Amino acid sequence: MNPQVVQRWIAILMLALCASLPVQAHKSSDSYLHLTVHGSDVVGQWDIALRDLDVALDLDGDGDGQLTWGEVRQRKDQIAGFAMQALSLRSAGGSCIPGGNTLLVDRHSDGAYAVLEFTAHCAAEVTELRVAYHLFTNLDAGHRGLLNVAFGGQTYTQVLGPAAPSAVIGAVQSSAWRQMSGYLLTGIEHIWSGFDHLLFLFSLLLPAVLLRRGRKWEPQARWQPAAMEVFRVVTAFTAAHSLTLGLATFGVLHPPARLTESAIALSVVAAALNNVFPLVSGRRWLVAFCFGLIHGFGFASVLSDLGLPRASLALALVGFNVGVELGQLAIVAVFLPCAYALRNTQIYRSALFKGGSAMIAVVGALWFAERAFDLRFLPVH
Amino acid sequence: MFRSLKVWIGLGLALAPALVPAAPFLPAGDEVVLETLPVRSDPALAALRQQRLAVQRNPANLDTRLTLARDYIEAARRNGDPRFLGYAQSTLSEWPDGAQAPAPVRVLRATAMQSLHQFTQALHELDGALAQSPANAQALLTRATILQVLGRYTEAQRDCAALLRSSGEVTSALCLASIASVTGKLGNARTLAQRALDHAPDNDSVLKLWASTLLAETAAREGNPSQAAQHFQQALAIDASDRYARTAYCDLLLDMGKPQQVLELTAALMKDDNLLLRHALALKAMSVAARNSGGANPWQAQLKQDISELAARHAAAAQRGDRTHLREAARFELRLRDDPRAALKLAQENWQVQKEPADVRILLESAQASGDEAATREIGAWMRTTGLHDAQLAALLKT
Repeated sequence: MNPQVVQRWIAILMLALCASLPVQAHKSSDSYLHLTVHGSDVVGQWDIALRDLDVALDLDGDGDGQLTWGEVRQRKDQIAGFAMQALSLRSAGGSCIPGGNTLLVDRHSDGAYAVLEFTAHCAAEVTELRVAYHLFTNLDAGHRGLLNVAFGGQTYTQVLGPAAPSAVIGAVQSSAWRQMSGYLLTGIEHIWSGFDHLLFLFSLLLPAVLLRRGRKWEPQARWQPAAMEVFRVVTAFTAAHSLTLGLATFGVLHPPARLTESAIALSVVAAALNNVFPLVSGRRWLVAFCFGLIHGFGFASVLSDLGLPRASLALALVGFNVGVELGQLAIVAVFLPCAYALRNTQIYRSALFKGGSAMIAVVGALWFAERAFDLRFLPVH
Repeated sequence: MFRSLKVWIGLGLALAPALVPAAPFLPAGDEVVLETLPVRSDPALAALRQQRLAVQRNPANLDTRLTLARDYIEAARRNGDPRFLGYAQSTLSEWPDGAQAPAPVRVLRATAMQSLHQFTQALHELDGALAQSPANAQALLTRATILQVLGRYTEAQRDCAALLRSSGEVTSALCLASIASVTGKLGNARTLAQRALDHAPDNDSVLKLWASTLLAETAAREGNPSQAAQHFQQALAIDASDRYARTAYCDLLLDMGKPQQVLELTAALMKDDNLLLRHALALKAMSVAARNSGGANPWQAQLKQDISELAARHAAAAQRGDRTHLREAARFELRLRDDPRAALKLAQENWQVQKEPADVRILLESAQASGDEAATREIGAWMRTTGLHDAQLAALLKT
């Protein structure tokens, strides 16, 4: 290839690259304030646009119209001071004192944001949280604080601004039974919409109505062995994920979410591939148990995102877990009769069992790539 | 099996932590550029920082404050960036809302509110300003504009007529011409606007821009798109930074089946939601044409990206309770997501806020696409009452 052609190709590639860079939007100013109440602590993450902070604090030291990490990092204390001064958190016992600021960076649709991570300590267990918000009040009348609070198993959102600068968030005082049923519903919802758990379960249940003889799959002759197999798999999965869910919720074990989420995806691949290229055909319950331990951590992260009060932790755990099991049982109750009825058909053995498993393996592999490498290409995560 | 399982798990565990950082992240080094500030593309903004400091030093000086607010509003218009409207409002907010602020302050507040589609509040400020100084030309003109957007043409005409005394013939004529153009008196509108263009002082680019844009819109309504295109080009030659003319020109070109030109007009300005929408609509047109001709479709990827970007921006706006983009959101649903029901809902919500010909058009298109005959009849009735005539709308109603 002559140099001119090479150069043209480089130019075209560069253009394609530029075209695929995200376009930053022009929008009114927002900050994103996430608070999670844990007992007497309020854990906060506050995303504030660097562009807005520059207007208030003149961050662009060298005045070249570009903000570097150095320019931002050196002003960390001023940024944190400026922001925290504009935010007041109070519980019934008095002010909550924020501390432990960490400064990170994130990207939103309209550019780079400073991310302040802090923990505010309140005098006593928070029963009611009062948030007063005055960021950029004198500077930008269009600025809004998008508040998101996880408290007592529920999420509250509110838009704060000059016209409505404060919010009062109280954990709904409800009976233990009502709270419990709330967590129970969350558990059912999570297993029904948690496609990764479902696909894992299906991969283990699909072969339950079949029997491996030599190198071939044959239909089970009677329903009892099939039902027993389902019972063993479901019980093992349940016991395992309940165990790790409990350990994680009470803070005994705390593996990073990205690791467990990636491992869950991997468990889907492994369970599904085992149907196509069988390696384990006897002790499927053991597979269910081992991988169930990992799935438990996944359930735990859902529960912890709800911002649980320490007092009702056990209640929440039991409610949520019972919800997961009930949801699971409902799925099995529909699945087993259908699979048993279809087990003699060619459609079940090739299309549903083999083809379905292969598809599940592919989806699991894509999930793994998404979760481990922070990519996005599936509509359901 | 267990051995290969172990290999897989081991692989996953080994890979997972050593990966691209999840958001939020710690930048790799001090020299990493995180953000490019608007001043880099618009050097005039540097002066605004100095002006703001001057206002902070001497908040009692009304003149420096008014100048700063005016410059912010102009920066918002020039850059299509609503943040500057918030700065302008803060500059003017020393007087508690509703208290007696001086008339010029109230007029500027209303101008910022109008840009944010807060029409009711803007009218309130303008009524107050005009009660204080009845001949305030800027107040009369802004009120006429808002009343026209709201479809209150008789009241708007009254303000246009009052402009004759306070601002002179050319402004008053243009004000009347823009109402004539949306009430079916297209010949009148054309004559008045042409005369205003001829008589406007050579150095008054605002009036000339307004006249050219109005001539373009009137020609399009008359069913003369090539004439309209010429007028739009004339308008952009006067002020290339005017987003209104550029957006309207893009819409004309889309109707004329010239999406390639729309891509050129919008390429560098996709920070602006309105222009990004036109960019996406042009890509959609080219994508459909490519598919129909059976050839390669190089537009699909960029179109998908535009659509997800627009969806993200609409979601961000909805999160803060922002309702300025209802018309654009309806067009997005109808043309880019093929969801006429959602489009009709948004178009009807938008219709509660504004009633310009573009609002009639999206309402009619989504009503027809979702087979809502009652809504279609209602629009027909509204057009007969106001006299609105538009070649595109007429074609839609015939089908």
